[in-house]
Amino acid sequence: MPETAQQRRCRRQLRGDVLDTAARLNRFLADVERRAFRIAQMHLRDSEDALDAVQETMLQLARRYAHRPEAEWPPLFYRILQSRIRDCQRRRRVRNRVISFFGGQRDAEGDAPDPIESAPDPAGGDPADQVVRQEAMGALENALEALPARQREAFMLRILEGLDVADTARAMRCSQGSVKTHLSRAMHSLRQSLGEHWS
Amino acid sequence: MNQEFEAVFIEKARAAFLGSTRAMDARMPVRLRAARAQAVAVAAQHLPRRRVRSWALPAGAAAMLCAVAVGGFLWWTQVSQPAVPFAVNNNDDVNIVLTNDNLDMYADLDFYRWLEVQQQSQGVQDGAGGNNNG
Repeated sequence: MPETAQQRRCRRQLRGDVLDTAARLNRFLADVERRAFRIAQMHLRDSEDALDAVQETMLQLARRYAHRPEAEWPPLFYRILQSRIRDCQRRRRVRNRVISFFGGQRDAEGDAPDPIESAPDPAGGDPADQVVRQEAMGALENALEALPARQREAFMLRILEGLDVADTARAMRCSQGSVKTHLSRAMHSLRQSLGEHWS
Repeated sequence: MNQEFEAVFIEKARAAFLGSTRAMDARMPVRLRAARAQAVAVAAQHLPRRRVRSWALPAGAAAMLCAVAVGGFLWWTQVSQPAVPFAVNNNDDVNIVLTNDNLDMYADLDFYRWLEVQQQSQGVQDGAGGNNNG
């Protein structure tokens, strides 16, 4: 049966909608991918695990939530990312327990840093600035590591990623009041640990 | 003082964080781009199906309701009619047809028809004679 003009129009529109959504999703992921990777890296302290977490998050968002309104993507993305990070930490705890049970040790060759991976990005800018930033970031990461997990999450999403309180609450699956409490405590702890260097 | 410190602190933390995202390992941006391309391709595959699903659910429910309604109507019409009415009503006719005597009667049907015509014509003649006599 030949296709009618209306069917053709619908098909073109549907294809246009799909391409439009795919383009918007691409822009959104391009915007958040580096920050998401750094957040995952700060939580997991491992580049490969962080990359896996970000990749799985992107795929899950694309598979399950691409049809949702664009405004819902940031909290959904970070909610999935936090979930992947927790999964990875859980797996790591189990693995460490098993390794310690059998008294094994990690292969020294596997722990050696890859020289290409550890090379700085050429787009990084002035080396002196980079050193200052790296020192500041190193101090912040150390201070963040000392925080409880929920306070760390609240600080990263609200301050570093720049989500508003409502989106942070959606990403953390808690109330806005809880976000404010976690954030206030995190700021208080960070001020105590970093105040001298950062004031 | 507190708020001032907080604002400076947040600004510094954010600047350090964003700086660290720019000064990333050389290979990582390439791998992130590859992951993003894969995710976008997956989204493009999944979007049309999800659109179909959005209207298929009510359509499926409506079809199910129609099927149930038609099935219910057919069942109700079967129940409201008496069971095998044709066989009960025509039971005597079947017995007549199957009896040997009656089969003989059907075999001689031509004779009986001729006899009936004869009797009728006889009756007419008798009637005419009676009238003439009267």
